[in-house]
Amino acid sequence: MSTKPELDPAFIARLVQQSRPDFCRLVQLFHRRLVGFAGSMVGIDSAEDVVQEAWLSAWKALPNFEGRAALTTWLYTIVRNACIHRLRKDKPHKQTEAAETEMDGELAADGIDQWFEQSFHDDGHWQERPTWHINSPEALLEEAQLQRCIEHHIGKLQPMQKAVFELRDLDHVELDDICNMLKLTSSNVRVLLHRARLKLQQVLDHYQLTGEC
Amino acid sequence: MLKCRDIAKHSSEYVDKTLTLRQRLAFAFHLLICGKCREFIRQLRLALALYARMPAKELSQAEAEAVVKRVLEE
Repeated sequence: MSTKPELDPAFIARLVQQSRPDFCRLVQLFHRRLVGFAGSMVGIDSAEDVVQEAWLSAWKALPNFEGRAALTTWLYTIVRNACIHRLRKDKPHKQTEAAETEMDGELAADGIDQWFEQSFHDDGHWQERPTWHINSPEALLEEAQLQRCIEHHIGKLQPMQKAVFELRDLDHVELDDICNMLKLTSSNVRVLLHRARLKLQQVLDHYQLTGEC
Repeated sequence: MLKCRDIAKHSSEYVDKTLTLRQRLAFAFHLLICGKCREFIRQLRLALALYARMPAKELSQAEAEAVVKRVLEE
């Protein structure tokens, strides 16, 4: 089955009819990502609970899903609403916790700025760009160590940044929709996305040069 | 006149097609004359294509069934 169920109308039609096996498949596909996203809002300790509440809301709302939003957008919106509900219920403690989680992520040194600046001469032109000897997605997919390396580094992104990156580059959600779903400004989304992409490129540069993570 | 650093800095907007027409023309001109930037953009697209095709981080079927059981039956 596709990893992007919204592309499969038959899958959605069965979900709308509350087919339990298909709902199970939906949970299988999205649960980890939604827990990561919820963690950026309510803190990791509450994220699992909140996402389970969101799954129940989603199950109940499925018969009314009209497909006006992509399934991914719909799910993330339900989880965001569940997070807001939890924050209102638990405040002020959880708000503080979430804010701290976000702040920790923002303060985490990801090395991107240094890597980026070191890539250029003072006049703004490139130093040497590494040549990538593995040059197709198919060939790169055969590199198990590289995939583990990417998972490791992307896994360390700040949760909101990871959510933006996955929504855009896995699910191809429009940037405006990401702003609305995550309540971020357009410039925030662009910065988070660009830095995540540079991180991916930095990991690939290093792997292509050294064969190591 | 754009520098290579500008191209890299705005590469995401370029691949997302969110640059203005004027910016896009400036990008196109720079890419025409700069092989390193063409390679950078090609590598960015390749990296994104790879990421999109990596196996999803899914729950196992048993884990998903356990979540659904908790959600719907408890």
